[in-house]
Amino acid sequence: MKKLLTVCAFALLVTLSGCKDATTSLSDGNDALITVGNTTITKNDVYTGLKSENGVTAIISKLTAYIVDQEVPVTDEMMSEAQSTMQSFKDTVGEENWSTFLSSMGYENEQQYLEERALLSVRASQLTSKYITDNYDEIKENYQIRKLRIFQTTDSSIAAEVQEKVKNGELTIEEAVNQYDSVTTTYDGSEQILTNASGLGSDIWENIMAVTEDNTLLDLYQYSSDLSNFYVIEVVSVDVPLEEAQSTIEGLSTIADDAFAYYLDKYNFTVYDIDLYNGIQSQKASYIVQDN
Amino acid sequence: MIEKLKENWFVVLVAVILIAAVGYYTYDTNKGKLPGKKVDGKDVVASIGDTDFFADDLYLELYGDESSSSSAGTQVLFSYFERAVVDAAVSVDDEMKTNIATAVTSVKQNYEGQESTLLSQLQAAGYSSLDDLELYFTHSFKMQKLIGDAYAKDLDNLFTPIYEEKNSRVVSHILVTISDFNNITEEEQAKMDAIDQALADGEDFAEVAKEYSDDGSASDGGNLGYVDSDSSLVTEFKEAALAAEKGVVTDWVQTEYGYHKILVTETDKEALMENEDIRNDIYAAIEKANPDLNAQIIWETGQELGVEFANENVENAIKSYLGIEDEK
Repeated sequence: MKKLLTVCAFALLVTLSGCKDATTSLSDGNDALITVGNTTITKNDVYTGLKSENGVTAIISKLTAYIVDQEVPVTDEMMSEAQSTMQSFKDTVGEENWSTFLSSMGYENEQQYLEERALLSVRASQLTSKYITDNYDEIKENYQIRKLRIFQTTDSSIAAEVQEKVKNGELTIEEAVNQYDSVTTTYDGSEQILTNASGLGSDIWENIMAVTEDNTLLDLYQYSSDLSNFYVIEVVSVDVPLEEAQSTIEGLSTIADDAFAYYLDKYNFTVYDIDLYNGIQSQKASYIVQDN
Repeated sequence: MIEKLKENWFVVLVAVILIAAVGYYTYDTNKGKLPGKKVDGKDVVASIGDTDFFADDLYLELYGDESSSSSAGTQVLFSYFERAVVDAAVSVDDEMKTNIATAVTSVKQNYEGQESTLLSQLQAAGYSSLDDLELYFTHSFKMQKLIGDAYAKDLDNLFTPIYEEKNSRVVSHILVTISDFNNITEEEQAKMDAIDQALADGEDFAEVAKEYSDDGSASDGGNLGYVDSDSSLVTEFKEAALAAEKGVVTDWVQTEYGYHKILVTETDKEALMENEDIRNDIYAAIEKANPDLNAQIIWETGQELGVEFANENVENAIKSYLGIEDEK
């Protein structure tokens, strides 16, 4: 019976010791690097410091290398672009400083720099485009991509007048921009591919989304929440093809992160160190794709 | 066996309850905790697909060249070395405790709602979490004490060349701000006239400054503290302040801010060294004039405490980082 109780007590002890977030250590982490008086600075101490300073960047770089290896095969064009980029950088650094530069950056030779830096960068730049191409339907839905014509003014009476004239077929929105004093060139009356991240107010966007037919003029002119801007809007297309939307989507500030998070999820990225986990969470929260 | 269990049914019952409790407790406390991973006994930092990234590899990559003074590893190692030296060399007294607590409270208040910015700054200084804020200030105040004590021991030698080369002194001023130098208003002119009259009547410069000066120093009698040729002051003001004789109020000096009356209140070297109000300014001047001095102090203090390095690469990298040359 004593044995039974001892086993229970041991199990409790093991449980208590395992009840915290995981952190990582080095195999030889207890080795001293410097001892000052009674204080020992170990490899683990320095590892912890390095991890908190640059750990997130280093891991993201490793993840990028892994993902592009899976998703973006090297082509002759990419290699050529990478070589050209490297040569241009080499010219900037100077032939005489090149070796020192490579070694200070931790590269053993030029070939390593080419493959691990220049080519990786070229391949990584293709990742977002690939994500957009492969996932366009989902992106289209998330970002509510629409082709619109917009007339913008700060004068509500002008907006009302233009709304009426366009509705009656007396003017097109493009013609109205030329005739009236439109306050900005953001919306110049031409066909523009816009998303729910384009800066129009959410109420306006809701009205745009309610349109299901192409070439539909919104019934009423729209206005910003502070009543400083008024818009006459025509929905040209509710189903914009990828070829037309690609550059607009690539210009979205969040799309690169969306793409990277998508591939992290696809390849089951998992962090096993709470410091790195917290670092990624604070810098790039969408990159945390694991369930704890 | 079964008979034995029956005989001790109560102990068995307790054991079963205990096991159930442990099981629940294990589940409950590990819920939401980040799990770890080991492969072949080595810690895995992260994984993607079938690839594991190991802590050992990450360390080597992040550290960089062990023998280089500019590698990230050497810089982090130095910050730990510096902290180890000040920790061992300086103890925290009550005054320092209070200063640390005040600084922590003040920073926490200033960064309320911006904790992530504060964390980034702490991390850049080599600390890992917001809980390290007190530690950061402890090291910071200890460092000030260590450096300050070292300067104080050799103050005459350190300060004399600065005093001789840079024309050290203590300066006060009275400022009348002028909105348009081409059209001085009656009010502005009246204020300057009143100041001239008060000084001519022999009123104390500090009192006149308190009454009339438009500068923030007015409440302190116009006192600007320590000034030398390196001080960050507008050129016209600095030139006049450095040319002025002790105790003689200058004529009006025009700068972009307005018109100033300047009074040099001290130029004597001994008096300057004894003036606690300008001690930090003098120390800053010493540090500026001797950029390697603090590193030398850290190194020498470390030597007194006893330093051992893991290998020559680490030792040379740290020495190179500190600008310490081997004794020939």
